[in-house]
Amino acid sequence: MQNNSVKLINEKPLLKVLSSDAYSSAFLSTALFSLFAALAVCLLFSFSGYATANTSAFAQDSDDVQIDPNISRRDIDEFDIDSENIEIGVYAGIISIEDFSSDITAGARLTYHVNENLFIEANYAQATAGETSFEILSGGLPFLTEEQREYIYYDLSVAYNFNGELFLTDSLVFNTDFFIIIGAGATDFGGDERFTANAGVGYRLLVTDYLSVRFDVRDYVFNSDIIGPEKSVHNVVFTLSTSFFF
Amino acid sequence: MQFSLRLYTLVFVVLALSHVFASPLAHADEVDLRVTAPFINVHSGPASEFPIFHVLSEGEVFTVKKERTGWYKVETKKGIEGWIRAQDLAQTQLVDGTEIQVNNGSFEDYLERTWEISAQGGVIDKTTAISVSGTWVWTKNLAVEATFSQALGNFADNKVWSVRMRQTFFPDWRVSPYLALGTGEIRTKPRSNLVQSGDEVRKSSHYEVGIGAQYYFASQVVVRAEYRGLLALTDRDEQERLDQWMLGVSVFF
Repeated sequence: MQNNSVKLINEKPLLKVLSSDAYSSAFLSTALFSLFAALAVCLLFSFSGYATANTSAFAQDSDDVQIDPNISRRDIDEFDIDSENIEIGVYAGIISIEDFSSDITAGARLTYHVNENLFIEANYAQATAGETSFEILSGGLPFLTEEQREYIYYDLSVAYNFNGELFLTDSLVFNTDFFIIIGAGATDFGGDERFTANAGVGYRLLVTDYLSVRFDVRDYVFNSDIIGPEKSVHNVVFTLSTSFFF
Repeated sequence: MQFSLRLYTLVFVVLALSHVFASPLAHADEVDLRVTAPFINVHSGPASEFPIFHVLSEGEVFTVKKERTGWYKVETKKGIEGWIRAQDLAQTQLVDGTEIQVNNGSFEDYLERTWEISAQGGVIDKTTAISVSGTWVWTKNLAVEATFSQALGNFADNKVWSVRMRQTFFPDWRVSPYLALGTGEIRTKPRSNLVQSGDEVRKSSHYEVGIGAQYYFASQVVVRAEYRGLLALTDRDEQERLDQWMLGVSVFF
């Protein structure tokens, strides 16, 4: 089996090695299609209010022009008002790696808030996979090397948030949002990198205008053949993070 | 051990970055404005869903402190803080009577953009691929772009990076076609279960030609679709051609 595979690599032109089997491409293209469908829905939702708001602003402008066509204007950008649409954060939590027990995970993320309901973000995180039940029961015979147990995952995701407020007391009120997030990226584990789709929900609490605390639950799905035949594995991650807007 | 080292590096970088970006925050300007509309609604947060809890009346002077996603944080002379929309800010003037203009990701801003960041998904030769790119819009027609794509197949994982020039033919159109030419490198690493020796990364440089279109959607978002033809320069007799189809979004600054 292994010899055949080696021949495949050597005989096939280098870049044709890319093509994957039917099962995997069907799964992945479905995943990708749903990603874009979700993105399209998010965009439609978040801009539905934008069109009407824009028309009224336009009407106002034309009124101004009637009053004084030669009016001098100053651009609000000239005043260097602090624009805080980017968020940078670190997080830690628990990842449940299918077949390989649970472990602590940590990472960092960069978020860009496109508008009041939509944000996109890049995540990079890592963990160290534990032992399979087989390894524990057989008492020895490690399945992977220490290096292969390094679990690195990263993704680009898009989220739609539902804004809200949290009233702790009458006067202690925090702005919050609950969001649904979906994305795609890769997982480097067991010596290979795999295309990984992810989806989840989260809750963000703004302690101040620029400091936030957030809780995420995400499911990372990819095809793996580390344990025998190829299957899709679900790795669920719970994280708590803190971030700064700048 | 390696895990904790990387983690500490990551935390250090994030803290350093937040410090670098947080320090100019203290020096950012605040500006005093006077309301010219009959009234302006003040929301408790930077989104239309947050309740209106205060109203700025005509002639009232207030301070603008910061901006987030098209909302401006204001403080009244009595110390009440809240958020108003960018459209409402256009109905104010400077204390000396000068009119102000608010830029908020309109089509006009899009035409004057300098930077774009894009994320795309698609296929390279039937393998699912994702790609990120950063673009410097040099002139109205010309842009310089750096792209990184990753295609993870069942037999190999492939990383492609490239630098390219993009020529936009009709930059003023809402849907605008473009042509791109570039060069870069393809790295292919066979799956670990296919090769006994393990990490055999192969590199080959490539040329690419791209044809696509971008569509100004709304706010700061641009939708982009593209075909790229990649010609890999291998050390064998024949060159190899790859087809890449991508669809994605860009935000501009």
